[in-house]
Amino acid sequence: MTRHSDFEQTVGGLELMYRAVGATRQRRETMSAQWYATFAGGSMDQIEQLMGEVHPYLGLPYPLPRETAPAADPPPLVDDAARYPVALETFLRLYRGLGAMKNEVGQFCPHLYAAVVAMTAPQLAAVRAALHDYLGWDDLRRTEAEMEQQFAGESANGAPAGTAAEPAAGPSP
Amino acid sequence: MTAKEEPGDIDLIVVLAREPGRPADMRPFEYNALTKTGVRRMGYPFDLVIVPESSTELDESILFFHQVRDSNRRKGLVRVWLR
Repeated sequence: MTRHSDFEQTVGGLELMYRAVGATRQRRETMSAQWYATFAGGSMDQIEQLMGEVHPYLGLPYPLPRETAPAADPPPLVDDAARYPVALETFLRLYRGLGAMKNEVGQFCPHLYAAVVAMTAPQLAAVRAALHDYLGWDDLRRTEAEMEQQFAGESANGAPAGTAAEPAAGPSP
Repeated sequence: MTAKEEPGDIDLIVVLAREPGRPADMRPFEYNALTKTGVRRMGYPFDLVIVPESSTELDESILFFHQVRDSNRRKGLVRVWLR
Protein backbone atom coordinates (compact mmCIF):
# COMPACT_ATOMS: atom_id res chain seq x y z
CA MET A 1 0.00 0.00 0.00
CA THR A 2 1.51 3.29 -1.09
CA ARG A 3 -1.40 5.64 -1.75
CA HIS A 4 -3.69 7.47 0.64
CA SER A 5 -6.73 6.40 -1.38
CA ASP A 6 -5.73 2.75 -0.85
CA PHE A 7 -5.41 3.43 2.86
CA GLU A 8 -8.86 5.03 3.07
CA GLN A 9 -10.44 2.14 1.25
CA THR A 10 -8.70 -0.38 3.48
CA VAL A 11 -9.93 1.37 6.62
CA GLY A 12 -13.41 1.25 5.08
CA GLY A 13 -12.96 -2.50 4.72
CA LEU A 14 -11.91 -2.73 8.35
CA GLU A 15 -15.10 -0.94 9.34
CA LEU A 16 -17.26 -3.39 7.40
CA MET A 17 -15.57 -6.46 8.86
CA TYR A 18 -15.60 -5.13 12.43
CA ARG A 19 -19.32 -4.38 12.04
CA ALA A 20 -19.86 -7.93 10.80
CA VAL A 21 -18.05 -9.45 13.82
CA GLY A 22 -19.96 -7.09 16.12
CA ALA A 23 -23.25 -8.38 14.70
CA THR A 24 -22.10 -11.96 15.25
CA ARG A 25 -21.19 -11.05 18.83
CA GLN A 26 -24.79 -9.98 19.44
CA ARG A 27 -25.92 -13.53 18.65
CA ARG A 28 -23.18 -15.11 20.77
CA GLU A 29 -25.58 -16.59 23.34
CA THR A 30 -27.58 -18.41 20.67
CA MET A 31 -24.77 -20.72 19.57
CA SER A 32 -21.93 -22.88 20.86
CA ALA A 33 -18.38 -21.59 21.20
CA GLN A 34 -17.37 -23.60 18.13
CA TRP A 35 -20.06 -22.09 15.93
CA TYR A 36 -19.35 -18.61 17.25
CA ALA A 37 -15.69 -19.07 16.30
CA THR A 38 -16.72 -20.30 12.86
CA PHE A 39 -19.07 -17.37 12.19
CA ALA A 40 -16.61 -14.77 13.50
CA GLY A 41 -13.39 -16.34 12.19
CA GLY A 42 -13.70 -15.33 8.54
CA SER A 43 -14.20 -11.65 9.32
CA MET A 44 -11.38 -11.79 11.87
CA ASP A 45 -9.05 -13.22 9.22
CA GLN A 46 -9.95 -10.36 6.88
CA ILE A 47 -9.38 -7.82 9.66
CA GLU A 48 -5.92 -9.20 10.40
CA GLN A 49 -5.05 -9.18 6.72
CA LEU A 50 -6.13 -5.54 6.36
CA MET A 51 -4.30 -4.53 9.55
CA GLY A 52 -1.19 -6.12 8.10
CA GLU A 53 -1.45 -3.64 5.20
CA VAL A 54 -2.47 -0.55 7.17
CA HIS A 55 0.18 -0.69 9.89
CA PRO A 56 3.29 -0.73 7.67
CA TYR A 57 1.78 2.12 5.64
CA LEU A 58 1.32 4.21 8.78
CA GLY A 59 4.63 3.16 10.33
CA LEU A 60 2.91 1.33 13.19
CA PRO A 61 4.19 -2.00 14.51
CA TYR A 62 2.13 -4.99 13.49
CA PRO A 63 0.69 -6.48 15.49
CA LEU A 64 0.39 -3.72 18.04
CA PRO A 65 1.76 -4.94 21.36
CA ARG A 66 -1.04 -5.43 23.88
CA GLU A 67 1.03 -3.92 26.68
CA THR A 68 2.15 -0.43 25.75
CA ALA A 69 2.58 2.90 27.49
CA PRO A 70 -0.65 4.19 29.05
CA ALA A 71 -3.11 5.71 26.61
CA ALA A 72 -3.54 9.49 26.78
CA ASP A 73 -7.31 9.10 27.08
CA PRO A 74 -9.05 6.26 28.91
CA PRO A 75 -10.23 3.62 26.42
CA PRO A 76 -13.96 3.37 25.86
CA LEU A 77 -15.86 0.88 27.99
CA VAL A 78 -17.27 -1.80 25.71
CA ASP A 79 -19.58 -4.02 27.71
CA ASP A 80 -22.66 -4.17 25.51
CA ALA A 81 -23.77 -3.96 21.91
CA ALA A 82 -24.70 -0.28 22.16
CA ARG A 83 -21.18 0.79 23.11
CA TYR A 84 -19.41 -1.31 20.48
CA PRO A 85 -20.13 1.05 17.54
CA VAL A 86 -18.88 4.05 19.55
CA ALA A 87 -15.61 2.29 20.37
CA LEU A 88 -15.29 1.15 16.76
CA GLU A 89 -15.80 4.73 15.57
CA THR A 90 -13.07 5.88 17.97
CA PHE A 91 -10.76 3.16 16.67
CA LEU A 92 -11.32 4.04 13.02
CA ARG A 93 -10.96 7.77 13.64
CA LEU A 94 -7.55 7.15 15.19
CA TYR A 95 -6.49 5.31 12.04
CA ARG A 96 -8.01 7.91 9.74
CA GLY A 97 -6.43 10.71 11.77
CA LEU A 98 -3.00 9.15 11.45
CA GLY A 99 -3.58 8.53 7.75
CA ALA A 100 -4.52 12.16 7.19
CA MET A 101 -1.47 13.30 9.13
CA LYS A 102 0.78 11.06 7.07
CA ASN A 103 -0.80 12.24 3.85
CA GLU A 104 -0.58 15.93 4.68
CA VAL A 105 2.73 16.32 6.49
CA GLY A 106 4.47 12.93 6.68
CA GLN A 107 6.70 13.66 3.74
CA PHE A 108 7.56 17.21 4.86
CA CYS A 109 7.92 16.70 8.62
CA PRO A 110 8.82 13.02 9.05
CA HIS A 111 10.04 13.40 12.64
CA LEU A 112 6.87 15.16 13.69
CA TYR A 113 4.82 12.41 12.04
CA ALA A 114 6.89 9.72 13.78
CA ALA A 115 6.27 11.44 17.12
CA VAL A 116 2.51 11.48 16.46
CA VAL A 117 2.62 7.77 15.56
CA ALA A 118 4.45 7.00 18.80
CA MET A 119 1.90 8.99 20.80
CA THR A 120 -1.07 7.41 19.04
CA ALA A 121 0.02 3.77 19.23
CA PRO A 122 -0.87 3.29 22.95
CA GLN A 123 -4.31 4.82 22.37
CA LEU A 124 -4.91 2.54 19.40
CA ALA A 125 -3.76 -0.48 21.40
CA ALA A 126 -6.08 0.41 24.29
CA VAL A 127 -9.14 0.87 22.09
CA ARG A 128 -8.37 -2.27 20.14
CA ALA A 129 -8.04 -4.23 23.40
CA ALA A 130 -11.45 -2.94 24.54
CA LEU A 131 -13.04 -3.98 21.24
CA HIS A 132 -11.34 -7.37 21.13
CA ASP A 133 -12.11 -8.16 24.76
CA TYR A 134 -15.79 -7.52 24.05
CA LEU A 135 -15.66 -9.78 21.00
CA GLY A 136 -13.72 -12.44 22.91
CA TRP A 137 -11.04 -12.35 20.22
CA ASP A 138 -8.39 -14.40 22.04
CA ASP A 139 -10.94 -17.01 23.14
CA LEU A 140 -12.17 -17.28 19.56
CA ARG A 141 -8.68 -17.94 18.28
CA ARG A 142 -8.15 -20.52 21.03
CA THR A 143 -11.39 -22.26 20.08
CA GLU A 144 -10.30 -22.32 16.44
CA ALA A 145 -6.99 -23.92 17.39
CA GLU A 146 -8.79 -26.51 19.55
CA MET A 147 -11.19 -27.32 16.71
CA GLU A 148 -8.32 -27.82 14.30
CA GLN A 149 -6.71 -30.17 16.79
CA GLN A 150 -10.00 -32.01 17.22
CA PHE A 151 -10.83 -32.33 13.53
CA ALA A 152 -7.43 -32.49 11.82
CA GLY A 153 -7.50 -36.30 11.77
CA GLU A 154 -10.96 -36.51 10.27
CA SER A 155 -11.73 -36.97 6.58
CA ALA A 156 -14.34 -34.87 4.80
CA ASN A 157 -17.20 -37.19 5.66
CA GLY A 158 -16.23 -37.51 9.29
CA ALA A 159 -14.42 -40.84 9.12
CA PRO A 160 -10.97 -40.91 10.74
CA ALA A 161 -8.22 -40.25 8.17
CA GLY A 162 -7.00 -43.33 6.33
CA THR A 163 -10.18 -45.36 6.81
CA ALA A 164 -12.90 -45.97 4.26
CA ALA A 165 -16.35 -44.87 5.26
CA GLU A 166 -18.45 -47.98 5.71
CA PRO A 167 -22.11 -47.95 4.73
CA ALA A 168 -24.44 -48.22 7.68
CA ALA A 169 -25.37 -51.78 8.50
CA GLY A 170 -28.85 -52.74 7.35
CA PRO A 171 -31.38 -54.62 9.44
CA SER A 172 -30.63 -58.29 10.13
CA PRO A 173 -32.33 -60.67 7.70
CA MET B 1 -10.36 -7.28 -2.96
CA THR B 2 -6.94 -8.14 -4.27
CA ALA B 3 -4.75 -6.07 -6.55
CA LYS B 4 -2.90 -9.14 -7.79
CA GLU B 5 -3.21 -10.03 -11.46
CA GLU B 6 -3.36 -13.71 -10.58
CA PRO B 7 -4.94 -14.01 -7.14
CA GLY B 8 -3.89 -17.03 -5.17
CA ASP B 9 -7.23 -17.61 -3.53
CA ILE B 10 -10.97 -17.28 -3.95
CA ASP B 11 -13.16 -15.37 -1.52
CA LEU B 12 -16.41 -17.08 -0.54
CA ILE B 13 -19.36 -15.79 1.46
CA VAL B 14 -21.13 -18.92 2.67
CA VAL B 15 -24.73 -18.09 3.56
CA LEU B 16 -26.42 -20.55 5.89
CA ALA B 17 -30.18 -20.73 5.61
CA ARG B 18 -30.47 -21.94 9.19
CA GLU B 19 -28.26 -21.33 12.18
CA PRO B 20 -27.12 -24.42 14.06
CA GLY B 21 -28.68 -23.43 17.36
CA ARG B 22 -27.31 -24.05 20.81
CA PRO B 23 -25.77 -26.27 22.12
CA ALA B 24 -24.69 -28.05 18.94
CA ASP B 25 -20.96 -28.42 18.48
CA MET B 26 -19.57 -28.81 15.02
CA ARG B 27 -19.33 -32.13 13.25
CA PRO B 28 -16.26 -32.98 11.16
CA PHE B 29 -17.94 -32.45 7.78
CA GLU B 30 -19.19 -29.04 8.93
CA TYR B 31 -15.73 -28.06 10.14
CA ASN B 32 -14.10 -29.16 6.89
CA ALA B 33 -16.63 -27.27 4.77
CA LEU B 34 -17.07 -24.10 6.82
CA THR B 35 -13.69 -23.14 8.24
CA LYS B 36 -10.75 -21.75 6.35
CA THR B 37 -8.34 -24.15 8.02
CA GLY B 38 -10.50 -27.16 7.26
CA VAL B 39 -11.12 -26.14 3.65
CA ARG B 40 -7.46 -25.33 3.00
CA ARG B 41 -6.33 -28.61 4.53
CA MET B 42 -8.50 -30.32 1.94
CA GLY B 43 -6.67 -28.47 -0.83
CA TYR B 44 -9.07 -25.65 -1.70
CA PRO B 45 -7.55 -22.12 -1.77
CA PHE B 46 -10.64 -20.41 -0.38
CA ASP B 47 -11.01 -17.59 2.11
CA LEU B 48 -14.37 -18.04 3.82
CA VAL B 49 -16.80 -15.80 5.60
CA ILE B 50 -19.75 -17.69 7.10
CA VAL B 51 -22.93 -15.68 7.60
CA PRO B 52 -26.61 -16.32 8.34
CA GLU B 53 -29.21 -15.46 5.74
CA SER B 54 -30.75 -11.96 5.95
CA SER B 55 -28.19 -10.73 8.48
CA THR B 56 -26.02 -7.69 9.07
CA GLU B 57 -22.99 -9.92 8.52
CA LEU B 58 -24.23 -10.81 5.02
CA ASP B 59 -24.86 -7.16 4.12
CA GLU B 60 -21.43 -6.04 5.35
CA SER B 61 -19.67 -8.95 3.65
CA ILE B 62 -21.31 -8.24 0.31
CA LEU B 63 -20.24 -4.58 0.53
CA PHE B 64 -16.72 -5.69 1.50
CA PHE B 65 -16.23 -8.19 -1.31
CA HIS B 66 -17.80 -5.87 -3.90
CA GLN B 67 -14.91 -3.42 -3.44
CA VAL B 68 -12.28 -2.98 -6.14
CA ARG B 69 -8.88 -1.92 -4.88
CA ASP B 70 -8.24 1.82 -5.34
CA SER B 71 -11.39 2.38 -7.33
CA ASN B 72 -14.96 3.47 -6.76
CA ARG B 73 -16.10 0.68 -9.02
CA ARG B 74 -17.69 -2.44 -7.63
CA LYS B 75 -16.93 -5.94 -8.79
CA GLY B 76 -19.50 -8.63 -9.28
CA LEU B 77 -20.11 -11.63 -7.09
CA VAL B 78 -21.32 -15.00 -8.31
CA ARG B 79 -24.25 -16.46 -6.39
CA VAL B 80 -24.50 -20.25 -6.22
CA TRP B 81 -27.52 -21.90 -4.60
CA LEU B 82 -27.01 -25.30 -3.00
CA ARG B 83 -30.12 -27.19 -1.97
